Amino acid sequence: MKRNTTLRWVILFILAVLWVLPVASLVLFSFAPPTEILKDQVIPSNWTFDNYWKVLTDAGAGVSIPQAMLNSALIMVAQVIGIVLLDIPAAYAFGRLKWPGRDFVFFLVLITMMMPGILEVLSLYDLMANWGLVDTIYAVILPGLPRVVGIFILRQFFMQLPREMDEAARMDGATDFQVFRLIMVPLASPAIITLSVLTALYSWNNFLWPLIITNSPASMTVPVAVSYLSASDAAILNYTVILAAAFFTSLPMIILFLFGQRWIVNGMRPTSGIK
Amino acid sequence: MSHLRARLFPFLLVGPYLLVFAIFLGYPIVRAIYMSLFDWGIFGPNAFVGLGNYTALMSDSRFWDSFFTTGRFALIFVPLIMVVSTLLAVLLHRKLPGIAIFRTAFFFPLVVNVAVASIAFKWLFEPQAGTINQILRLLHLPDQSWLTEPGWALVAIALITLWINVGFMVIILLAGLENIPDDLYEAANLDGSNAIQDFFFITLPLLKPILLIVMILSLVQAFQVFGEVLIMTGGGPFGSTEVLTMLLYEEGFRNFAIGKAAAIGVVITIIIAALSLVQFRVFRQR
Repeated sequence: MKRNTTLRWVILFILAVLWVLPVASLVLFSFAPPTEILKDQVIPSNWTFDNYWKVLTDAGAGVSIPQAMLNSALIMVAQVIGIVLLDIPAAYAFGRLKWPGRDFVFFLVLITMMMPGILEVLSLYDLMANWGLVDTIYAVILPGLPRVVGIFILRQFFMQLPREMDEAARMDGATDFQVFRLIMVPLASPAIITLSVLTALYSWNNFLWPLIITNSPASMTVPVAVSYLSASDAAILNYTVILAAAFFTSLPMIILFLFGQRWIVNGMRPTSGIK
Repeated sequence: MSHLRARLFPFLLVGPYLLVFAIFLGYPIVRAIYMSLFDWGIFGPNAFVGLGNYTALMSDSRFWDSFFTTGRFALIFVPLIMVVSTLLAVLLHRKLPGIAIFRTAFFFPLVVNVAVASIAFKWLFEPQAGTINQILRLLHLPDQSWLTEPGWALVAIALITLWINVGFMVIILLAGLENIPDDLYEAANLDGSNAIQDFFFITLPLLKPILLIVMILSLVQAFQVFGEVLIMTGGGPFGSTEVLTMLLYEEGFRNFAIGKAAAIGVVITIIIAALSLVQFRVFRQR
């Protein structure tokens, strides 16, 4: 038994080092002067904050990282609020109320989870063009609102709450809406926090749709801006700045992860039985 | 009156969501299928062509190349992530000194977006200064030009996709492991079983339903891989990493052959649905 534990520890340690390696190398060289990458070395021998200064002032490729972070933050706030407000009542109706057509509609909603996101993108672009929203943050926000994952997580949670709770409230004369608003929503707060954290992650990191619908610095999100830097002709001269931009723009999510790991992990469990 | 209100109540709750769902998810999917039936260019539909886009794809060698590239990618990625995530889940399942740190190491790529991850890996695989080649040279092994070598580029993309997604699979598998009662292992240990036997005769058989889920999810991921390819190789070298989503992107947003791109999207969807169904059937029968 003892030997097994040591062996497990050693294997995990090796794999964990491999897993941290890509990001560790990125972070190390984000603090190096550009010429350091030309030398044969795994760890840079000179250090500087210049790359981060450039990220904040002039990252290159016509991209503004502070503007992209502001855009991403606005989009994130709008999507978290929008998704939570839309999903709570809908998931409650799917999970705890009876109405004609419920199971069929839920099936339709679920089946879209199997569809590749790239299928929708072609006609979404047309839709946004018709509304005159191409290259605006509204065009990024709106199509993110019908997040099926949120319906799934919250519905699962509402379903496992005991029946006696709403029955007792109804006996005391509470209306349907009061049961929902005053009893069910407060009870669901762990699931709502989980959904908010997962939505924040999705929103900040979403790549495909923002890449297609935005192309000017004024509306670009963080992953798009970073990919523009990486794709620019000057990328090779600018390598350490790109590494710095990649790390700097990930910091909000890294902080979210450090404080919210429990919620993220719980939200991704197949049953989402939030404990 | 109050009766009517009670009947309407569910629809009032679900209505706003369904409206948003219909506009931004339902409608675009249906419309993509509709567009795939037209010769659809940058200014809209030119002519109705029925299944013409699909039959054109069938005789398009670029489509078949990218079809087989996606297949090859799935054949590398799916077994890789299944083996690695199962190994990690089994190792992370029981208490161990420092286990919280280990879990964090494998879970944190979940919060790293695909652009940043691609940059990290591009840097790692960089032929001259990249860490991997530096280490290979330290060990006096031959270095590679990874991303510009047709044979290696697809493997490199499988590795980054693994790096990003393994945490999600481990979370699912850990939930499955928690449902296996400890008594089974204790009984087996009394009979003198070792860790390897435990794994093959208890863990694997009982984990089968969860492994099926992991397999289907990773297959869906394999057919949807996009950002990694776009940023790391752009489909190259020599088209060796041009997966189906990449071809769709090229046709739809670079060549503005939107009808054709929509047809590719529908084909990807059908492949994913068919493969999931087949796996489900096969696994259930055994």
